[in-house]
Amino acid sequence: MSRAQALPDPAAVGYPSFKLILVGDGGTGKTTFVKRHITGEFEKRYEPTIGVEVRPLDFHTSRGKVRFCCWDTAGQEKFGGLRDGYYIHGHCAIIMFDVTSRLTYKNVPTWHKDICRVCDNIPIVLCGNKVDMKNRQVKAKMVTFHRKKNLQYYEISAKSNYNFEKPFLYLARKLTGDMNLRFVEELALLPADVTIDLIAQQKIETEIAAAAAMPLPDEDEDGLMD
Amino acid sequence: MEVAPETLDTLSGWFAQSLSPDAAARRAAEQSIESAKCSPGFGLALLGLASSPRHDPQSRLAASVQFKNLLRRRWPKPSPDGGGDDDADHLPPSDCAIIKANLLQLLLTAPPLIQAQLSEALAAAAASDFPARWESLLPSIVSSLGTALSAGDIPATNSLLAAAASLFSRFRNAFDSNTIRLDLKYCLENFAAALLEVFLSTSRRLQAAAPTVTPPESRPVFECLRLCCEIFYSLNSIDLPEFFEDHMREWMTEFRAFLTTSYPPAIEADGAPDALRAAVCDNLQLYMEKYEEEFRGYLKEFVEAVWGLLMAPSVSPSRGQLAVTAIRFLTTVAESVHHALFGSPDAMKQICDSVVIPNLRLRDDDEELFEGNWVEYVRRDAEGSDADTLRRAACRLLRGLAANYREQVAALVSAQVQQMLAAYAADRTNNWKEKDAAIYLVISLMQKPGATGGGTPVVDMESFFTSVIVPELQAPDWESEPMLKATVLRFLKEFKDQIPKATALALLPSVIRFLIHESNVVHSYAATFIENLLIIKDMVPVP
Repeated sequence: MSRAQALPDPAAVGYPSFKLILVGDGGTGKTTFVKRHITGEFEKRYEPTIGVEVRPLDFHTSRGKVRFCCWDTAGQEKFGGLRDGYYIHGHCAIIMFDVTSRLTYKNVPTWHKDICRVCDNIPIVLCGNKVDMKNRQVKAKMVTFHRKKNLQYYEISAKSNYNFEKPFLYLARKLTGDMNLRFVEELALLPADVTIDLIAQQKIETEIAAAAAMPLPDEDEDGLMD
Repeated sequence: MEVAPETLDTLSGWFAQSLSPDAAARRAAEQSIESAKCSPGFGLALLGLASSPRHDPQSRLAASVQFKNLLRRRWPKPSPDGGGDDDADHLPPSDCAIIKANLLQLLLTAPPLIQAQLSEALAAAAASDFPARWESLLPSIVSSLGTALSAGDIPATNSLLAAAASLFSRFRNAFDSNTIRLDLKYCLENFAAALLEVFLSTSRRLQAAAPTVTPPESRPVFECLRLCCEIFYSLNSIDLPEFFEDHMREWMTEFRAFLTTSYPPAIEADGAPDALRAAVCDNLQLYMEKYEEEFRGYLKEFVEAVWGLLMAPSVSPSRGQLAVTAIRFLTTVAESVHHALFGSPDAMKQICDSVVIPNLRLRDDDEELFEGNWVEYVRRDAEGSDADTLRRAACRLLRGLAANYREQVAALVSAQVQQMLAAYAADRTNNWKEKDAAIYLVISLMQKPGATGGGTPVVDMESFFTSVIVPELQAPDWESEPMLKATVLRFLKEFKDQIPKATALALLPSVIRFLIHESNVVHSYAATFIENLLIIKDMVPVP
């Protein structure tokens, strides 16, 4: 993939700026995720996003500063506003689901299809959020969609900042075409709301190595062919 | 269908603003659009803007997106209670009639991304209206196909086929019922013959042109044929229709040609031929699984064709994905009553040497995954039958063959393993992937699939363990070749039941070194081994 053309931003920051589309069912933690990046905002109570909120997130990389203009979209149908109308001219996307809710993973193919229909061939990251929670419903080994569609997949916990930078690093590398790009400054994140049990999470991720073998589901998860 | 130019201009301005990062401008535009939604003719205005060549592409795309969303939400659906409150939010019947009369034609002339939205809009309307309440749609598609075909207009043909493909996709994964069968009958009666004509005509065009055209010229032709294959799959998903049984020879002749023809390198490198071949393999898989009796007459030639395809070197970027699909087809045959097609010693050796072994070796993708996304690597390693990877597909083929030819497969694989290990011994630094592939083969073939099933014995486990696995664990260069070390550690996990506890304990000091290995995969596997060791008991001999 060639290097993406950065946005013609009216604010005209002097460094590359990419439109990042953040989608997923309501309540999966999209807004909590983008707000981890220091903007001075802090929210504990769930308030559904209405339409879209646009938040600029800046990162310092080995190739200079990069901005992700995050279009944090509504996950709930009734607050959808222009829905996939917000995706137009997106350079990259994150699809988020909640590992404590099977339905949110089940809807991932629909989100993916909608993105691909509006944006031709952009890099996409799938994120399984809330891995700090104990009542996990979507086991790691059940997550297979990304393999079929060549997406990257990361398990994250927005409230504990676990793996926060990974989706952005992957997208930054893809968009710049530099697979050796690194973040060069410590990210300015809000303090964690919860402390993830890193040992337990490591064990969960390694547990797959001891799990019984499971084949990929044969049924076509997409319904319509691409 | 006419909409006032000023209306389109206003709408276009709102959509441009709706894409502004500035919240105030964006929200104002959204409110304007929201208010306009209640106006009569809003849907027609959206369609008008989407189709307007003089407006900017982003506003047109935005209009097409909202048009699709409008149809999804407000297209009248037949309700058991006959309407009521719902009617108030439905699009007016007069608007629906105008949309149905114009949508296909506008879709045909739209740029690709807008076309994708209008296609989805058409599918949304068709979901409830086709075929009974939109009787002009399929005849229009067929008629336009005839026109496009006569004019040699492949892009238009492809747009029409894509529309048809979305209409017919309802037959995939459909629960069989009288309703669905009546719909299928209607579609077959109106479309099957036209489809065959497009397919044969385009195939002839491909054969005539292939030696000289460039990828941009050939890509739409391959795409046309691929769409024909997709529609073929949909129309054959429920049952084998009489038309397709009657014309099976024509379809199969072309399918085989696509699999056996080598196109010029520039065209192969484009990837379009492999996309077509993958669609063909999906169709072969469908016929093999559901219509084996009718298909058996073609089976031998297709096994040879698919096999030959897998053996051919390729510059195609999507050859890997095609190979997974193709190998799956061969595996299905190998596990069926037709396994004798692979039964001869020569055939089996060719499969092993030319199809399986080349696909077993680690690729750059695997190394990238190992370094950059170790969790995914571990996950993939742990799942015994990940059908989407080449390595796993290749091993499944071997296991499929072994179901009927256990001794022959064992002998062939054993020879390969020895050959790989010899290559490694000759040059450890450059050939470590050979050893990795050898261990992978042993793990895949010798692990027991279930509680009762037996694996295929390809090596003497005890001597393999002591001569191949243990030296790697105890090697002084324990920090090098992390992927090989990970595979060795995985071997310990897979066969922990067969390693006496005393032997495992003796290895503990070597494994402990790996706990501080830089690679996440390596130290995770080491930790897993130690955990298993601490909880496992020696097998008690059954009296």
